[in-house]
Amino acid sequence: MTAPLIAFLDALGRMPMGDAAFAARVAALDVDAPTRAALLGRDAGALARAFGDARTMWCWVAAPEDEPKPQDDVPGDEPARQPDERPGPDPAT
Amino acid sequence: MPIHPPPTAPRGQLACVGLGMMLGAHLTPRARGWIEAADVVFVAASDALVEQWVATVNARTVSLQGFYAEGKPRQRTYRDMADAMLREVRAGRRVVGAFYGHPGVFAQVPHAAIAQARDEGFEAVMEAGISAEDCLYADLGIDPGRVGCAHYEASQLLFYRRLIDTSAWLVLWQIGLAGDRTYAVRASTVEQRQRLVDRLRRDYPADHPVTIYEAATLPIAAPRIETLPLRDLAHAALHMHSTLVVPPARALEPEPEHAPGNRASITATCPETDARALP
Repeated sequence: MTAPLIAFLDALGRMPMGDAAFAARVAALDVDAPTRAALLGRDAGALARAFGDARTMWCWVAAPEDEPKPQDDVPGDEPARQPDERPGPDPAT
Repeated sequence: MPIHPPPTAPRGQLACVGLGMMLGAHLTPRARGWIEAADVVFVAASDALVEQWVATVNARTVSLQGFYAEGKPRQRTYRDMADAMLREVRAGRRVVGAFYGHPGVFAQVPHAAIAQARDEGFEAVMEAGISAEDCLYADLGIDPGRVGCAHYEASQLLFYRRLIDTSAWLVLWQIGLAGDRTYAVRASTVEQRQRLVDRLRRDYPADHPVTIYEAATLPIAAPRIETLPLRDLAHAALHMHSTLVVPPARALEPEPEHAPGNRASITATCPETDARALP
């Protein structure tokens, strides 16, 4: 079921389609009933559940380099500072 | 008898590419080319289906989601991710880091990994991708060139002294984590977010409309665009990928030194900018 679903989403991402064409394409897809219902309902959460992988994905966040360090950190184990990452306030302000 | 040069070990390389925000919609030909040719692809995606999609382009994928853990400091997580990619580069492999959005925007790992690879003498490049910021402009119909647009990380606005120009748009990233100093959780508390509201109240009225924005990651879905009064923000449903968009609260003020009482001279200097751009 995964391959047809991914291929369909890939095609849809590259070429949006109207409601009628969308419904027709979904009807022709080789997917199970929950997946089909999620697609027709345009419900990303339901689609993830039907897909069997509804984990909440972690997102990038810009964490400061002076964030609290874990207990198991050892001295000298700090990450290398990058030229575009400065601790503290932006000097432009 | 021909003389052959001695065999050399394959030279590792690193390319950090953007997947864009929406599955299938935003992958550039260059990014696709890097992914297809890679020996190993480390994937940081915003959706499990996006991970699967990348695997259809190149099956040799490794998810970076496994490096995260509740309570694990972000810097530690990011260091582990960069180390994992660099190990493969040092082993002589063509390594791709495929990151949702733009690999250089709010993403420390690609910057760190590329810098480290270059320090060690390896070829390392970054390929631009379509970021959440790009989607925001399209979905909300905002032109940042009109009256200007400032971007801040929400907690940074809270913890440091920053000046807000209320005649420009204000975009605050990571509002779902605003006020949390650990960066080791998935969401900050209502009390922590209320501090952000209190900070914004120094510059904006309580009933100033603000918009919570979340870019769509699947082509079947629509972006989240929810407008509410500033006073209600702390209790709104916020996620790690939620962004706050604050429209201008006042018109542009002419600079007397350059345009003494003459609006025409301002628009002549910068025709895309005028004082009528309030939403």
